[in-house]
Amino acid sequence: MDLKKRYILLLVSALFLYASPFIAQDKETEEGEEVLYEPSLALHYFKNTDGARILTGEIKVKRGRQFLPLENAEIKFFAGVDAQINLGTAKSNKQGKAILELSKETELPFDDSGAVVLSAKYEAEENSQETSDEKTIIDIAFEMTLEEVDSIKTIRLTATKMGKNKEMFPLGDFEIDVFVKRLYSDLKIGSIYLDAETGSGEMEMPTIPGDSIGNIVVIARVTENDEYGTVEQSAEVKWGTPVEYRTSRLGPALWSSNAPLWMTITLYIFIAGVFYHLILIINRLFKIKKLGLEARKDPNFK
Amino acid sequence: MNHSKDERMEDKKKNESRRNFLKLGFGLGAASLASVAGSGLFNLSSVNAEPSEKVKVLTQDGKLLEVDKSQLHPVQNDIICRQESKIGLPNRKFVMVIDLAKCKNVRKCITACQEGHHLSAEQEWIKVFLLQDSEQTAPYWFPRPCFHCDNPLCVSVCPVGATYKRSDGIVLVDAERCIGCKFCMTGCPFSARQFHWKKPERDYDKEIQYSPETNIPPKEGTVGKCVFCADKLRKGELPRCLSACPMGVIYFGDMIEDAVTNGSETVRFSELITNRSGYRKFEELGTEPCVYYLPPVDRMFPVDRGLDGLDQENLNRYKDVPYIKNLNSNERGT
Repeated sequence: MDLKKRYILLLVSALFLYASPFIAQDKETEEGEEVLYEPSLALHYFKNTDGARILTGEIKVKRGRQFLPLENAEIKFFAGVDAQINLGTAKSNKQGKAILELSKETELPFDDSGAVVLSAKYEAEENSQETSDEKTIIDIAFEMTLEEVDSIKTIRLTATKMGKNKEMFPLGDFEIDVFVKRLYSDLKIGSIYLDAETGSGEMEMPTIPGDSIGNIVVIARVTENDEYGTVEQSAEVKWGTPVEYRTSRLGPALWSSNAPLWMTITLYIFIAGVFYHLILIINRLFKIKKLGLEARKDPNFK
Repeated sequence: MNHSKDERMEDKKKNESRRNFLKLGFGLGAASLASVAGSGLFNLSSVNAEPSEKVKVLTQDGKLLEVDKSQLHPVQNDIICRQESKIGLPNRKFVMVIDLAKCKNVRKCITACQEGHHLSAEQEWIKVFLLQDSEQTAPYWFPRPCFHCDNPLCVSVCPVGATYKRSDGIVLVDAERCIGCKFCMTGCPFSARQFHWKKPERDYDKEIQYSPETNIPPKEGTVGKCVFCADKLRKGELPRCLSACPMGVIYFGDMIEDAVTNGSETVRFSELITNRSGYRKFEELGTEPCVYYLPPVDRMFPVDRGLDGLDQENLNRYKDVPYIKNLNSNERGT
């Protein structure tokens, strides 16, 4: 094969290698469209104790039967009808979650009924379609008080909801779950039913273990509600049963002091026997040397 | 003054060694400056902060940089060294609860464990058995990890102290110390330990630091076992087998906090065990396992579903179970 043919072959191979991903993509596309992925985006709204709001855009792609998180996707967040206000942009992490924390100062454009339209948008890229999600959120706020009434530990909750002219009205006839923070998740300890008129309710704190001094974190939470999103209020209180767990590290039994007495005595006898013989040998060697020196002094020594 | 070729070579070598020495000195100096700059590792990031004290740091590629102290942030080192791994998480006592009514041998726990701990296909730190208490009772799937006993025989019999129980209840193996005598394998009444007969299948960077919390990289000629994913627990994450299980079979949590979770549901440990008649396998042996089982009652699906899609090698594992024997004989009869 001459040099020219070799170059042509190399060029063809290189072109084939370069084009192979696109060939593979074409197999997956429908009717010659260049779009490969059809991602789905879900917008989540979270309001925490400090009043700070967090918007999370969760983006996933369907591969086979599974929905896999899409990493490093740029999600834009907007507020208001027709996305009037650009709240910011965030990139999705390994779990496919793009998290945007809004500061307390960020004013959301609530309408006259106290609701705001929030949206998240993922713009089309080379190999994926665009997708978006929208949520209408009504602002609610909690006020949680933890107090002992007649030596009964009571959790009191008052909730308000934004209404006309952005005024806060009691959120009544509604149930809010109460949790206690645990190491890997939050343990639900009950629910508080809010009175229709006052928007407040209470529950008794059950006996629950706390940390070494009895501290626990109590959380009142509305989870993924269609109207309110996720809203929580938490507070730390010394209402738990103090628990301190101490255990001595367990070592190998071979070196522990729990060995039977006969074994210990036998072992010491063996060790003593060995050392006795070693000392005896050294002693005898010195004696031999001494005898040798004395013998040399003897005039009859040959 | 004329130097011979050999002399010149020798001088060159001396100069090179001097240069190497100076390089080493410079490197060590820079490293010490970096260590003075703060304890632990630092990560440079562009945060908005007031300019303050300047400190010298050594970058990963060996460059010495002077940066604003406010730009330094301590980062969590993912690899927990051998000494550190001996100390458990303070005031914790980990416990696992396995709901036998939900298990249908999907085997996702096994594959997640193998991927997470770089195990080969034949090494299963969590095994799923098909148990049948008698010929008259229904069979059920029985996942079996290490039980992390409170009175572990494996720890008692280890002659070199390679396996130990931490304050948080986790029993670990230090493969750097393990001599492969297999005393612990013999001592364990639950056969939860496995011997690494072969070299690891994948190639590891020589600089990768071994950690008993992950058992990565696995070492040939040592014993390995379920570690309750101690590395993940330290980061506030749940064990791999639990996260991978689509049926929510495995609950995990802290016994001190009296709460266990399967990722989607969190319940009080004491209530779960009392209400669902939780028990520990071979409790009569006195090893006090930290893994509890909920009996396989009110099952939502037949046990046969766990046999779907299994290859012949896995099917052969269950051939001695009376239920499977009956199934096979019925098939032959028809």
